Amino acid sequence: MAALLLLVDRKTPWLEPFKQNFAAAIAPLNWFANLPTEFALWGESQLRPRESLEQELQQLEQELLIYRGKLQQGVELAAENSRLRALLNASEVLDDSLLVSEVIGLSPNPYQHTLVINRGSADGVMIGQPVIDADGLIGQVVAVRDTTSTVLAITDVSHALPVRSLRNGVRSIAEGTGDSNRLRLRYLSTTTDILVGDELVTSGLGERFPAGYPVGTVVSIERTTGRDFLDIVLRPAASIDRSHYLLLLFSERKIDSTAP
Amino acid sequence: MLSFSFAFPLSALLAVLAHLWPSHFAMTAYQPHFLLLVMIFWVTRHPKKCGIGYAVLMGLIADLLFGGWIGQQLLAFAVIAYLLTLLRRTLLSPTLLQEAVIIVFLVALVHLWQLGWTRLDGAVNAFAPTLIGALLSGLLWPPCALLFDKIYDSGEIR
Repeated sequence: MAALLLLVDRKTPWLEPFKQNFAAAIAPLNWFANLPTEFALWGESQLRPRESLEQELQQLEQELLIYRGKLQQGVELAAENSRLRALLNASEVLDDSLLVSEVIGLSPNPYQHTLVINRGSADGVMIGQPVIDADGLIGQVVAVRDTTSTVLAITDVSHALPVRSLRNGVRSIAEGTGDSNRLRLRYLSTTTDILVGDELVTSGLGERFPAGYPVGTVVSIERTTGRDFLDIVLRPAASIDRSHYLLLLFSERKIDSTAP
Repeated sequence: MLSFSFAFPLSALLAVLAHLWPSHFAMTAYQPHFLLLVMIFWVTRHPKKCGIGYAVLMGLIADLLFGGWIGQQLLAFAVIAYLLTLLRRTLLSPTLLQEAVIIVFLVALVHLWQLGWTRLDGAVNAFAPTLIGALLSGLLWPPCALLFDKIYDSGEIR
């Protein structure tokens, strides 16, 4: 019976509704299991001295001011970029809107990197939607329920995404390894111009992830004699293991394409 | 003393909550297999009532909770339950320490089975954390079994 179930689940999507219903049924348990963490965070904020909170607030206000200043510069650059793209007849880069979400659970399976977030179809979340944190790309939504969703991290072994190097535009595929601190680059020949420290961003190919979001940094390159491709390891830009708050990207193009 | 109809779902629920407790991806590899421990407890403490059928049920819950292919954990749980019934005939009244040693081996077997499936899918997960997870399951067994033995007694002679 187990072997039959394994075969059916690997080869067909027949058991998916069953899995989805179970995930929806245990969603309140996820929330319940997360309560001690929430309570600890609340306790920490309550026990902190007032001076420390004031100091942090002041620091955050300063950071906000710096980022607002940078944003003004960014708006000007975006407008200039848009004008240049229009001159070249290139496709227009769309603005993405964001929705803040909170991680309320992780997959208990050590070999599967999925996160449960507290946003679902009631908030307009869709399957395939990209998810980022403050530092880079986290992954994409793979299952949506009423009030929660499941996000597949880019480090999951079943995940792969198209990337390009910020330095010279070299394109490749970044694959998950099952290790939250490691991605690998595939199909780059031994003569490719790539160096340790190169930053890789989403290339936008495939239209699943918008272009330009940080994916990772090259930390090691191995050239094995007799092999046609390089063995390249990346360190993910996002804090996949540590981020508590995530951002869901809403692309206008995607929303329009799914509208009735 | 708790009744079986209350104690069994309670233990399963506590195990599910323990698995759902958010930690880090890196830490989950070291986590004891709580659902397996609960299944082993009931199969060893209440063998007349909890047989392979209950193990299959717990395995199915584990499959759905862990999000892998359905059937992976189910098969592992059923085999473990069968091995335990075989072992019961040779080891009539094991001490908690003997049980803990057996549990380390059984949990390691399940973890390796899981690891094998992920390797088949192309993962490069390390071998050591799974064995440490099995060791932690063995360490967790004596206090947990003692606690549950105190609040539940099936009345069966094992």
